[in-house]
Amino acid sequence: MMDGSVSCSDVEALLDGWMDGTLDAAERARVQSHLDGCAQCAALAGDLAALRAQARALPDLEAPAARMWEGIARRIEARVVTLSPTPARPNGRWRGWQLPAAAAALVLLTAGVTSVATMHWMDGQRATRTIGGVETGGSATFAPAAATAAEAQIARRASATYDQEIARLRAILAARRSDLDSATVAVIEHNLAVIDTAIQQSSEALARDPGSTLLLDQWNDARDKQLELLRTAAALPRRS
Amino acid sequence: MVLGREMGAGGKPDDAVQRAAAGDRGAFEHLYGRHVHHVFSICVRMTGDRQRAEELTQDVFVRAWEKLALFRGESAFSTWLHRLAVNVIRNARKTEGRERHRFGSDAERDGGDARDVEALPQRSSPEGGAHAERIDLERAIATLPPGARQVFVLHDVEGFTHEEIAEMLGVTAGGSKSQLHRARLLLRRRLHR
Repeated sequence: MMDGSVSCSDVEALLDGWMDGTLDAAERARVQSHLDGCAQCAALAGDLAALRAQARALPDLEAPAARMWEGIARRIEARVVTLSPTPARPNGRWRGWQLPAAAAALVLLTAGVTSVATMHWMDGQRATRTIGGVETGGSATFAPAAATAAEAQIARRASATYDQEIARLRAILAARRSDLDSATVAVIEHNLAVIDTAIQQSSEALARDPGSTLLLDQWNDARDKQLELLRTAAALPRRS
Repeated sequence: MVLGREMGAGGKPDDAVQRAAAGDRGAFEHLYGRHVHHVFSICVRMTGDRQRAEELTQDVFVRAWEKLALFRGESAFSTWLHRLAVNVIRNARKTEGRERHRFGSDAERDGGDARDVEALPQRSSPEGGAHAERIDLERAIATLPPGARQVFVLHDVEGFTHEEIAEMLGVTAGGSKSQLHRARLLLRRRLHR
């Protein structure tokens, strides 16, 4: 059906804007005029309006809240519970089941910490365009800058925690050297050295160009790769 | 840092967000109880998969715990959390999309990734009524193609604008409008209106 210059297909295309109130006055008047004279389009408009109203009124679904919270609490708590030193290690060696478990727990922690450190750095970067540097483990390490003293403190703490947990993963790997194939260990150590170099270079470049999101992404990628490799290495099965 | 405050009962600001951001687990659990049903609803409706929605809801709250210290209160906490949920769902879809592509699945092409429509509530009786209509609508939403379903949920159920949806989903506002149009017409047809 035609109504002046507006066809049914034109109206169908305009109905969303008509319902959502985004048409200008002239378009709205043309659509309304067509709907007043076209039962088919009026029915469509009525159905769609009813559908939208029904969708907007949908109540929340009932979630299995208690069961899901157990999983969330485990994941949150895992970052704290497994961080303490492990004096119970017999003869200074890790039990077989402890290594993958500890590695997995540390990954959970460090993944969160990396994200926090980066986000704080991004916030601080937007506000101040400055960068700080600290000495850690004898090498210049990129340290996130932040807009306020409190944020800077959180960012430093997050970055330091990350470094600490990477060190723990390295310790796990060192403790397992004799359990692993020597060729495998050599490949892992070579790759770690490459990643360490990439992190170092990214840190130095960021110190010179703290506004570069490309460099920040590379820094993050390198740390993610370091984390992934250490996790994998720490959880490798004993050589057969 | 200025932390956002949700308005509690009686219009008084409560400091659960601030306390949770400072590491108070009890406060975070309180926030969880307040928001879990809505976050779960977003996850179910956007994925069409109740079991996957449970996993994603947990991911959302773990991410919220990790990122809460960064919440600056520029929006309501609920808005921040819902945007975070959409982001988690979107990232999960991207990862799963790569997996599907790698293994040659054509689930997306064949009209959706809704895997357990049958797990959604069933009508308890053949009669109509508002409750039965809601169930029909939930089931119909779950059968929409993923793109249309996500935009419909975000726009018509959650009330986001096309510009906000475009930003959250990484599409254009025009693309969002097109998907919404498609979703509404498909739903009308499926609901036999």
